[in-house]
Amino acid sequence: MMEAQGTPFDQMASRHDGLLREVSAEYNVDPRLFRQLVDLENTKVHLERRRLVTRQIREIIEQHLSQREQ
Amino acid sequence: MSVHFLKLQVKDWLVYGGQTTVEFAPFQRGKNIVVVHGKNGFGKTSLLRALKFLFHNGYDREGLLEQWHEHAREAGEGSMKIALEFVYQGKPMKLIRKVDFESRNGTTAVTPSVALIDVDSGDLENQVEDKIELIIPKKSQQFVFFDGAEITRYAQRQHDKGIREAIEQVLGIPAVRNLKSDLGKLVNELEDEQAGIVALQGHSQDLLAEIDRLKNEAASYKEQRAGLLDKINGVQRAAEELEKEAAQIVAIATEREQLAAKQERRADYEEQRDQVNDAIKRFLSDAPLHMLTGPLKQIVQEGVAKQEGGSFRRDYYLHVKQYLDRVLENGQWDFGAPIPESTGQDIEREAQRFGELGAGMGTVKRKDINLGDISELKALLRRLQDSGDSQKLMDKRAVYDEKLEEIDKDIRELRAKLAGHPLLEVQALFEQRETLTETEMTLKQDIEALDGNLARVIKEIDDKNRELDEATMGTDLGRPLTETLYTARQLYKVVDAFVDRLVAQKREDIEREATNIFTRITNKPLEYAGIRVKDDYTLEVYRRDGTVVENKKLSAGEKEVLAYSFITSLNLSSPSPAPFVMDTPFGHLDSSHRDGLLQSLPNLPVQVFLLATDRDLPHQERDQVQAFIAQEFEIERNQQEASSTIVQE
Amino acid sequence: MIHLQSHQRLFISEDLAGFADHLSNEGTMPRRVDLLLLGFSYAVNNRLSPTEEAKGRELTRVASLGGESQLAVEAVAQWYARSLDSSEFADESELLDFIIRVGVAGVRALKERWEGKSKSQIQWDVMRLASHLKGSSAANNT
Repeated sequence: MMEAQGTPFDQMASRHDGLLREVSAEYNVDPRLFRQLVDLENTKVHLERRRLVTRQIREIIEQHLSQREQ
Repeated sequence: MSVHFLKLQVKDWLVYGGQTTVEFAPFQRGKNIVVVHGKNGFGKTSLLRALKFLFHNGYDREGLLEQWHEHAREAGEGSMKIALEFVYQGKPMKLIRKVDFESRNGTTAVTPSVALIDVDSGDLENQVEDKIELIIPKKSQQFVFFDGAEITRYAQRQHDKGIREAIEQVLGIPAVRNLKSDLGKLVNELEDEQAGIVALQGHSQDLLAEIDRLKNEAASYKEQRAGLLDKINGVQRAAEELEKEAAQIVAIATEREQLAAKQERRADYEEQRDQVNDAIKRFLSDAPLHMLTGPLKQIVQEGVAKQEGGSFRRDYYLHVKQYLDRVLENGQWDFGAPIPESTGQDIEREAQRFGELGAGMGTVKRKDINLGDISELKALLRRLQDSGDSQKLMDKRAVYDEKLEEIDKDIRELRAKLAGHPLLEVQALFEQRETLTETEMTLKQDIEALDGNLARVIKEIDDKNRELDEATMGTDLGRPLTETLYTARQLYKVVDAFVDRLVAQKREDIEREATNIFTRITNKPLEYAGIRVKDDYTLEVYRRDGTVVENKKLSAGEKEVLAYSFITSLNLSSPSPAPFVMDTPFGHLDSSHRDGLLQSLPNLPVQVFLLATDRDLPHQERDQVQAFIAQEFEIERNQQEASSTIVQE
Repeated sequence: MIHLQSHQRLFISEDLAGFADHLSNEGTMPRRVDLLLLGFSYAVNNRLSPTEEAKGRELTRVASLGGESQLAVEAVAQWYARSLDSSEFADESELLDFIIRVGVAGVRALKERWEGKSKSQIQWDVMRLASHLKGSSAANNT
């Protein structure tokens, strides 16, 4: 249920880009993955939509890991 | 990038009957003010409410019926609609919120709907409410669409918890905090799954048990740490109190000095008054004599006259006798003629008479005053003359009495002020402060030690987890899980660090922005240096010398300027600054602040919509910002139709 | 002029003794005899008649008047007596007797005048009497 990259609503995290990259690098985490997750949460500020968020986060991580292997 | 409004359509909303359309010029920096003039009751507030409704609705069924234009309502059926074309993140969009009213079975069915359209593609966006939250979060509405009364309310309720949440919402922080908590949940889930896999392999059970024990240890350290932090806070608060007390004592020392000085002066006055009192006493003891000066002067005069008069006449009598005796002895007058015998007997008798007269004058009667007494009385009279003016003495004493009364009053007041304070030396307070500082340091050292332990335990946990991961990596089931778990753990640490740094950075941004705005508007730019945002997002103004201005020392106008600066900076610090829509914002501010505020508007990187009456924006002030005004509109009222429209000037 | 002898004693009538004590205790007057002197001066200025009797409470000896006061009172008493057409004094006891009787008359008048007044009010009045009459000969007609 992800929006296509590039629409204004999915680019919230990129506004914190500098800081985001900095912190990701310190913990050896791909900043793109982090940004993806932040954007995900940004579209789900209404409580009722957050019920399945952990599953979605897991899926995103797993997808990212499998893509990395390829 | 900020949000810009392009076109607004209002249909059958509040005072706006029928359809009203307003087109705005494209946003231009430095020429960003749009003024909408309108008398009270014509429709300025209706406009503001239209925008609030458009973005966040907020009305229930009854509320929606009330917002519906009355004439349209009379018809019983129809619709009301607000539509806005705007640019968001460089993309043109259109937001439409509509309410359909349908007559059904004697009541009116109210059906609201909302649509968000990507203008370029024409596509309808999904998750509209969520996306609206991204454009203008509901809780930050107050920082975007506000009226003068809102500023006043905000100025008064800075310490509201809701404000803090609203602020974090504007800054996009809740999403990141949510991510952290969700990742935490995910990590727990994955660890449980991992434990399930490990259960199948006997030897790793010990590992699991060990990890649990370590986690408990870590939890206990965290608890202790929290307790120590509380203690440190307590110590810091106590130290602050001591500082305050010391400051008071220093203030009192001054008063003590004043008291000593006054007591010295009092002693002087008393001395001088005593001198005057002595002079008065002397005068009083002489009072009977003063009262007798009249009679004494007469007595002296008479005595002198008697004495002087007496000796003059005696000399005369004796002189005549002497002459007559001589004539008798010579037997002739001094000019030579002889004296016949009968005349000689007359002359003898006359000489005797003069002799007796002379003898009588010479005797000072026993009851008369003598020369010695006279000269003593004269001396007394002279002394009394020189003894000074009693009136002046009494006046002088009155003056000293007054001075003493006044100074006694001052002394009493000073004593009263000093009464409540024991003679604690500042030194003693500083010693107490030293002790507190030492305590604080000890506590901090304890925390450091705890942190050390905590870090050690966490590292051990990490090591054990790695061992466990290695164990489970070996299995087909375990490997993908372990990788995901590892990644989730790392992400958790990243988000944790990120939130802290983001909040700190945002605070800095807001402070900078707010200070910028505030120092432009304030009428005390030489005194006030800027605004600081505290941990709880309350504000403080600080002076150029670094001292903080107490909140209660700010005037009502200053508080409102502060609130306005903060609101504005918040908007500007948010991921996408939105246009300001201000309804009669200047009503509560004094003219110097108003001028400052107006002058600051062109510097904002967003559109500024001013909904103003003539009183808010008198011609003189409006002319001052003429160069920055992009457009002007006027709300016109058709009294007959009871409807308003907006026309461009 | 007759002079008093230093050993002679000055009196004030019984009914005024308490008043004299009160004034000197309060510090309104330095000594009780000052009241008598004041009374004397007041009586002379207001042409009061001397009282009948001169017995009462002993105040002090003539010696404590001091040279100036003693001479002034002696001179004025004799002058005042002449103005009242009384016969001349035979000796110093008659003179003393006259002085006391005039003084007491004056004190009685002052007591009435100062009824209900405070110490400072009395002192103020005395100052006024002293400066008002200083140098004026109006009140003294023979």
